[in-house]
Amino acid sequence: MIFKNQLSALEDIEKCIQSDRHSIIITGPEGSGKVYLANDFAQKHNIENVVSVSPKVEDVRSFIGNSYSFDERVLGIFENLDSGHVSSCYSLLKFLEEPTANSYIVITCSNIRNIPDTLISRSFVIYVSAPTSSDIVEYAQSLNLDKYLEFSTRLSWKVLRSFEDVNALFNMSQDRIEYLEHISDIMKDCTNVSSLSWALTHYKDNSELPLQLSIRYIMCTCKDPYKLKVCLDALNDIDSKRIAVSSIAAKVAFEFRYGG
Amino acid sequence: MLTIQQVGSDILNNTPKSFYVFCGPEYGVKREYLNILQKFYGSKIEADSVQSVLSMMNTKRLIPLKPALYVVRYDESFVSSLSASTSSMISSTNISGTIVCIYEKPSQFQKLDKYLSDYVVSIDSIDKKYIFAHLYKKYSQKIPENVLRCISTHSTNYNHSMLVCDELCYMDPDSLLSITEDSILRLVNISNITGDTQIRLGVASRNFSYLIRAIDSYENDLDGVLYTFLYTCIDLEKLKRSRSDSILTPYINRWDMKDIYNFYMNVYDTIKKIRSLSCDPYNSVVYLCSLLLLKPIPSLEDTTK
Repeated sequence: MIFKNQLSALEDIEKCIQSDRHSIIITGPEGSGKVYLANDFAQKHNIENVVSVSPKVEDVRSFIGNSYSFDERVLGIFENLDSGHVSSCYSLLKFLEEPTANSYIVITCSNIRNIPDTLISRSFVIYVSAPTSSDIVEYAQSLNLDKYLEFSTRLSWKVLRSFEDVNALFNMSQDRIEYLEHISDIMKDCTNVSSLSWALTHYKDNSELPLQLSIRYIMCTCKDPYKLKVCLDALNDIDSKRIAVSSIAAKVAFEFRYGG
Repeated sequence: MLTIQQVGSDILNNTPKSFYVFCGPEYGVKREYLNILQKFYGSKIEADSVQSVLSMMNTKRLIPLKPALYVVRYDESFVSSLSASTSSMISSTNISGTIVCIYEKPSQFQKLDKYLSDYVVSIDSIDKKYIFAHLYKKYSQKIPENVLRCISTHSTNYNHSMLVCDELCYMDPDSLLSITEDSILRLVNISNITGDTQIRLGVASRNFSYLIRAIDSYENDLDGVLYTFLYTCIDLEKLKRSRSDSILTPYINRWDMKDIYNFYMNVYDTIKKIRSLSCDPYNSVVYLCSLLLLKPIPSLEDTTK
């Protein structure tokens, strides 16, 4: 299946294959299909061995160390390298300058500004945009038509921004969906910042709830411009990964209670 | 060398001599004596050097100087200029009031005692039981006896114990009755290594000097300090909403909601700045601590103008 947001990225992948590039950076928002594109690269390049590598320094070094003994062609997908320590990026430098014949690398990241320039200059950068509404509909229909019909008229549908969101929603229990759809009402019952920030980051059964998800639900129902700005700032802060999520949640709670 | 009993007797009986040199680490006693002398003369003049005060006394004038207390603190040049004739020069000067010179270093004491033995008094550490007696006399109306006893036992000196008592006087009397020995020990800075609890107490009590000391001996990095600031704000807000038993409860009256909110926002903004700009984390933390001294704490908009 080909989605509109990936069209230009797929063309770029073709170019990489033609020029036999060993190193590619795919950057785009979370859930835009970066890993799908990396696998597409492997498929088109007839690479059967695909290894997913975490952004930990030791894992990166281990892959590079092993790459010298690869007998067959291997693709290492370094997922979300921007969320790892900068040392992980620098561990890759030498490899990018002199890649071994059988090894290929695809780095995925949601914020390319967190990737050192030295890595960017040694790789082919492919940008992938967020999926369009029609892409999401098409994906959801292909995944489960009944569920698509069930959710397409509900508040939860308005919150979906990526393919991953569709997967998450379709696999979510009814209790959790109910919780998220009523999160604005739940927040009104919270007596202090502590309980409010807990409500933003935990479901009713106290299991963890991604803050960006609860914020997106709030944004769908909120009309107050100040609170909308608070939500947008919070999403930016989550994306920048510079501050603990619990502190961002507490900031949102403080702003909702005492700001403006 | 004069004894502390002689000097105390002179000062308490309102018959002070014209010149004293207070040496030693116990500033609390020095401060007490200075307060009594100030009350006796009605005025206190802080001077930069002993020489300038003596010159003033030697200047001929039509209207004589009104007796006053002159205080000269840590005048190094006076110590270096000491000679065999200094003592006679002072005794021949007609001093109107009392000049008190204050020094702390033991090395200075040796030289001062050599040349000015008639004026020098060594004010060293006081016995714990006398500290308690003094504290009881001064603070028993406001602070319970068991708390005073704990402070006198654990504080490093009389001045330190007075500072702790002054701090406790601001507390709500009911909270003071229930204050734990552990909290007092933290206030007198007994623990060698600081943990999150000390940082939280420092923020909640809005005690700048205590907080800076705690940060300087904090077991984790400055990032940990900043996040502890944030969590303390959340706890304070919770306590403000519904009173409960917590180590922060005694200090809750020092905060209003706006201050808690503004402090949280300033700390949050600082964490973001430290991560994105090359600003010095320690200076940023000290800056945040200084905000605690302000009432109200400025909003983020005010501090970033």
